Amino acid sequence: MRLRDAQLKCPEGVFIEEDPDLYSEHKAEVLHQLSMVSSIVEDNDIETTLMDITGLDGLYGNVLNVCTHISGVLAKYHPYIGVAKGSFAAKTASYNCKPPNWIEIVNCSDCEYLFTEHISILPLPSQVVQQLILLGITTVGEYALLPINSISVRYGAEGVIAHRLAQGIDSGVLSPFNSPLVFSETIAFEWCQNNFDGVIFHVQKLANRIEFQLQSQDLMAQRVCMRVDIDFDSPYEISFDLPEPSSQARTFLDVVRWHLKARFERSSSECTSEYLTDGGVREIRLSVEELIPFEGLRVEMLSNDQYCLQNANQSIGKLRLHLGDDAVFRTKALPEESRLENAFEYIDSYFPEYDKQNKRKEKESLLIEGRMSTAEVLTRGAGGILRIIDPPDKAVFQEEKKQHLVIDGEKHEILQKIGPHRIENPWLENPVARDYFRFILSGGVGALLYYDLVLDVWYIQGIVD
Amino acid sequence: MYAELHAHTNFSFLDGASSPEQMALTAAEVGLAAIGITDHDGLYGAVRFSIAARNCGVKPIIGMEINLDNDDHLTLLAKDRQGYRNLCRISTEAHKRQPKAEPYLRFESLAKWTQGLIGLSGCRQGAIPKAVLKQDKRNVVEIVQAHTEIFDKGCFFLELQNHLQEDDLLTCNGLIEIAKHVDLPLVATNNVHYHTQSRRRLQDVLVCIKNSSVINHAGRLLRPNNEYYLKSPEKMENLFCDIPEALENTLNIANMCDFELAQPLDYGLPGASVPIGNNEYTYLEKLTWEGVQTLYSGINSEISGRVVTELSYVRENCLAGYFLTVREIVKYCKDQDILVNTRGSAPGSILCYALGISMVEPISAGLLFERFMSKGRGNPPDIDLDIEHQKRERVIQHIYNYYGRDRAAMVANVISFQKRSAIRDVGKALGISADQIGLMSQLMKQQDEGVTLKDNECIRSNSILNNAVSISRDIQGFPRHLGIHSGGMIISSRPLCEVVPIEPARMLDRTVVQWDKDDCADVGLIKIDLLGLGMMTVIRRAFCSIQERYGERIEFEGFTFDDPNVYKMITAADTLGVFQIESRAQISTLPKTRPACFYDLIVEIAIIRPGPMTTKLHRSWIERRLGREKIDYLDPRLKPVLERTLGVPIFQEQCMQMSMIAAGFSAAKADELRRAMSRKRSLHNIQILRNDLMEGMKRNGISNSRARDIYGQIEGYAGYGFPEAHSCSFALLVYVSAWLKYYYPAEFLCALLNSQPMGFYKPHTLIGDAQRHGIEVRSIDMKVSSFECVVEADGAVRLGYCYIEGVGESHRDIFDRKGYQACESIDQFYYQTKLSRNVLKALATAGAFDCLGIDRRSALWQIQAMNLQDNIEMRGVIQGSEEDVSFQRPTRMQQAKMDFASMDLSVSVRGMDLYRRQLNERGVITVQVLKQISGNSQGQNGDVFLSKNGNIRSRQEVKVAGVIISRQRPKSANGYVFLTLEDETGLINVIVKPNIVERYIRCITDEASVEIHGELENDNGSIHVLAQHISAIQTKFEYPQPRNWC
Repeated sequence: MRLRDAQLKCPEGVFIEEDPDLYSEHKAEVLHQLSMVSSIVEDNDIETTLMDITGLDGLYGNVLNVCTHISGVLAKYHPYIGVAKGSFAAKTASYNCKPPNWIEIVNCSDCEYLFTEHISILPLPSQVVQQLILLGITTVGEYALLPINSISVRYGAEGVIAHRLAQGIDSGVLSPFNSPLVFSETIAFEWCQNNFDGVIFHVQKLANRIEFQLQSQDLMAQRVCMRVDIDFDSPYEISFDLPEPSSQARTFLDVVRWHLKARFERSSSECTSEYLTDGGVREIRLSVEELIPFEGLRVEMLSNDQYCLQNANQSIGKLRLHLGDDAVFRTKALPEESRLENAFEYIDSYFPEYDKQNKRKEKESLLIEGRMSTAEVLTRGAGGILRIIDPPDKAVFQEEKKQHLVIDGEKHEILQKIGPHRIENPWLENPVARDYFRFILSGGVGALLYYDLVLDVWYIQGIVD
Repeated sequence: MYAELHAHTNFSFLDGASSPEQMALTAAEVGLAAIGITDHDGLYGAVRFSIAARNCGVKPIIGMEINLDNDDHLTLLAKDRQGYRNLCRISTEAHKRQPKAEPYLRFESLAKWTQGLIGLSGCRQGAIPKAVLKQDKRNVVEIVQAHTEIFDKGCFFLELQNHLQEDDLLTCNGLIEIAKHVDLPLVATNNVHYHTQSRRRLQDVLVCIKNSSVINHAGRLLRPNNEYYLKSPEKMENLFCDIPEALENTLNIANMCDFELAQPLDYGLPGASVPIGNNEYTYLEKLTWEGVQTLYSGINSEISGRVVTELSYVRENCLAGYFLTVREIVKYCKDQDILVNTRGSAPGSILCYALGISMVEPISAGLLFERFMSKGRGNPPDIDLDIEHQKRERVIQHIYNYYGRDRAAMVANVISFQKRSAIRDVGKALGISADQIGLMSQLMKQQDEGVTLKDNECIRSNSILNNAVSISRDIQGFPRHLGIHSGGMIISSRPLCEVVPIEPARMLDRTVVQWDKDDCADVGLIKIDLLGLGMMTVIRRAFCSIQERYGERIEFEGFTFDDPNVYKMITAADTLGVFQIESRAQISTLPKTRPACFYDLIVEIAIIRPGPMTTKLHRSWIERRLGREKIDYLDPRLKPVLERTLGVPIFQEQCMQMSMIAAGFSAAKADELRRAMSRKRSLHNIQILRNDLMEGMKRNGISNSRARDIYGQIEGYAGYGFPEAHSCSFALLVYVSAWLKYYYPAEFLCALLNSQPMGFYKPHTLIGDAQRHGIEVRSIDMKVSSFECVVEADGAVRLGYCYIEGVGESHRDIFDRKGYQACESIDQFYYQTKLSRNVLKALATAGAFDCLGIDRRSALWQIQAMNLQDNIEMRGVIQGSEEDVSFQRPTRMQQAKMDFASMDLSVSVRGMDLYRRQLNERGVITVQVLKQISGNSQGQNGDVFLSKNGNIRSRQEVKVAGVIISRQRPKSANGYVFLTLEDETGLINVIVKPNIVERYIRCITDEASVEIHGELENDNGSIHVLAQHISAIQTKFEYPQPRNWC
């Protein structure tokens, strides 16, 4: 019963707030207990679980005993149990249980059992149900008696499916809850496909579908498997890593095309890019073997919260900015149009040089990894070990008037001070307010310093030779 | 010294973070010589800003930052009147033919309108600073020269800004270099976006709202620091110490600018067409006397004196053209058979009556002319026209076409952030989840923000939510975008776009000026309000219907307003559908107040309204009318003013007169008080006048406590200012609509049904009421019905197709052709009408095809399978071969269900009649029985007692059930909820106390029909049930959703 209905029926009732975590915990336990009884248990919806008990009556004596056993193992949940040939009728039977009878076994045919049920239990769109009610068809039985061709014309495929259920024809197969997460798409050709472009056209469709599945779950594929059934030949199966984790159909397609082309060119010297002469393709399956989370990591890196500040000194948006600043006196400026991936390439190429200078010992743990792919950087970012920009050092001036700056123990006269350039960000947990200055020092050395307006302290951001 | 010449207020929508008033006040505080307002692409805040700056002693400069090609900004300041005209033109052109909120002007177009303008090179978004940053010197010089050429000599300056951003110094140095090269003067500005640094966070949030972004992801959309505030001369001197001439030039420019919005604008009403040999005044005079001769049987000295006084005022103030213009509009309406009347103070004028503008005769109604026009007013009178709501757009378009689209525009309505919209937008900008925003919004809805949100543990412990609450509080009242005023129009003798910028409105074929009604009034623009009123449509339709059916022509002029039958009906609170007195509050009051004459109606509609009810003054008036409370005038000198309303101030005129008599206010000051009362910011303004009022009363020997009482009455009145003339004009419609309901109920119902949506009740309730009055209402029939409802020859009302779900105005032509009425099958009907399947299904469900001998279910079944193809051969042919399916005839309950599903009303089922047997078994009585019991019980069977204020009341335990037709939870009612229930015998009001509301809130808010156990109370003929227990009644069909009112 919906909470709203309950409140209407019992306005004086005290209703406890829902606890989804606790609910999931108990749901997992229920599924676990049921999987001890049958190997096929389907997590149907929030309050319903379906299981296949075919043959268990032999083990327990009869169906009632099976139900009693289930009732016993889930005693604390007081389950309502319905048994029928089809899952739709079984579910309906369980809804019909009324205390103290917790078990309802359908002894007649499913069709007979469902005959008097209200039409709204059928899987029909609500407008269709409304229309049927207006026509005076209020029970499943009345719906079952309507001619199938009339149903088909008026209510389409959904109407026909519901009509079959109403007639007790329920061939649904249960999907076990504990089956592994699989992203797999297959296409079988009615006639063997000999045209290479035709094959690729269909692979594109598979890739699109996998892209949709991955993106709907915020996942990226790391490793993909392709299986191709070829006429007059053994199946060709290959697993390969993508150049970088991706959820893009184009990436899968490029790699698959490359592998397929290589496979067919290898097998036949006569193979052109258009036609496969030594046997057409009967079936292609594309499946993802290794997944990594997508959005979660990016959010970690891109969000502008304290965590990222601690670990990356700034958000990615500003990381690029900082890299720009960094590069001014270290390497070179990033082009304006740099994207996230490009930025990491620059970091990657920059690290060995940075390592040589070896001025920041605390960075070595990161630098010894050498060149990293974007995926690795992202993965490490999530782990919290990435520190790309160093925390700045406090600036040491020789005297009160700040005419000399000391760098690595060496005194430099300040020839020119350019600035300030003020940055204030009140939105961070620790608000930032800084005045940046560019100092030109004796000996042709340049320095970027900032004065922290909050802490009242000078820092050196970097040195330019 | 320094003058800020580049400042954005919050009228740079979703960019500026301070109001014009805050900006002006701060400018005065920091010692600026002058301040220039330069909002984006418009003069939206110019009037408020000018007034505020003048009040603070700072010189206001009117300007604008215009968006040119390539998103280049340029700052423009009005040097003189011509410059101001050009600013208006430029803004108008920039908005013309552009998508809303994306104004843009080509540089070449700008060149046409730079006379009288001073140009500054703009912020970092300006073409020149952008070119300087690119360090393309040759290009920069070309751009600078192009700009210099289009402005008058010495009127273009290079604008230096230093917000301590990384490239500011580079830009400034580049501009200084260019200035030397091309010999141009420099000027320093600060591109101000808020008056104080603390507003920076608010500005960031506004930017995020504008760009639909979130603070954490906004990046470079946000400004990098807090330097865009209104800086003092000293701070600007520090920033530009190397270039003192840039600061000096700010003062030079301020001196060059010699235009203030306070001056009368070049505005005049369009001249009316006047016969040769007359001028506007003489023609008006002639028309007035002609009108008076026609309308009055004998002209006495009072009438002629009043005419002479009003005419002399019109001549002194050159208002003849205004009256003639309004007369022309009214004449157009009358020629087009559109019913029109005035509201507001205009019915107090005999001129309006004589010219046919108003239907109210002011002398016998005792209406004051001074409220409409007086020497002390200082601004022109306001004539508001009420027009049939379904034909108002026709009148508006006539005005556009008649006076020219460049000379007429609607007044704007500045849509500002309210509590809930503020928290919603701020929450989104701060990245708060939709759930949390919903929660906060809900809390705001339920209780006062200050108390609830701060006390909420969840909000208190979360800094982001805290931020959201505090910023949303600051943002409340900020303009968000421009809407259209409900009916205000400005008409001008010269192109209006030289007086005020105009922009296209979102509504097709409409344009809107950039100022709201108060701004327009402040600069002397005369607004003519064209307001749509549903009841005008009803009355006109009913009059037409009566003439068609009985050949009897009814006109307003023929009413004498004294029919006892009408007043008897009103006293019995039998007023569903009657203008203004049909609400729950009115219905519960009418039996107590027992209106017996026209003036009673005037008072009734003025006092039973949300405003007066907040102050509880209505109770005093009712008690005094019933003779249970002594009439107290607070001061004997106020008796002549308050006598007619039993000592209770109800009308604006009374408050004006009270202040004049008690405190010796002049008419002008009293009018100032009146205007303060009627404006949104009235309470604040009234408090400013408080001291004067109190002192005046003290001088006149009124004791402190009495003075406080008088002030309390006036202050409390501020929320609901209402001129007596307005009430009088409305009372006329009350009487006429009541008269129609009494004498021509079928025509009245038909007119009401054809004028929906309007009024307090849904059509189902209106039909029920008519049926209880013996009117037969028939359902839709394919052979008979038209698009609209009609009264048939035998007096029954036939529903029109417009009530079928899915049928709209676009189907009118189809149904008015009527060729389909000859069809003998559904297929033929479809062939004739080509309606969609959904409409056909709704028609079948409503029983429209019953006349073909096809019952509803068979028709529906047939339509579900019809092949609605374009191919004529195939059209209507049922797909495939089908076995016959027969359906049971629907029961009455099922038929009702089908009616509600297809029309949201039923003519065959009323209230709870289908459940009456079960209800009877439970001891639930009908409303009719309830009223009988109530009549008998008072002083007999019931528990009779005296209430605290001495009222005689009776109480009795009852059970009643019905469909909820309205729910009210007024803020002033301290948590009480008022329900109106309908059963098959009538309506009953139910009062639910807060503790009961809390317990049964779900039932009250979610259920369509309920059973109430409670006490029946009879308070001097006004009966209601005080609920103690509420339970839902599960019906097998859905009643129309009740209307919820605050």
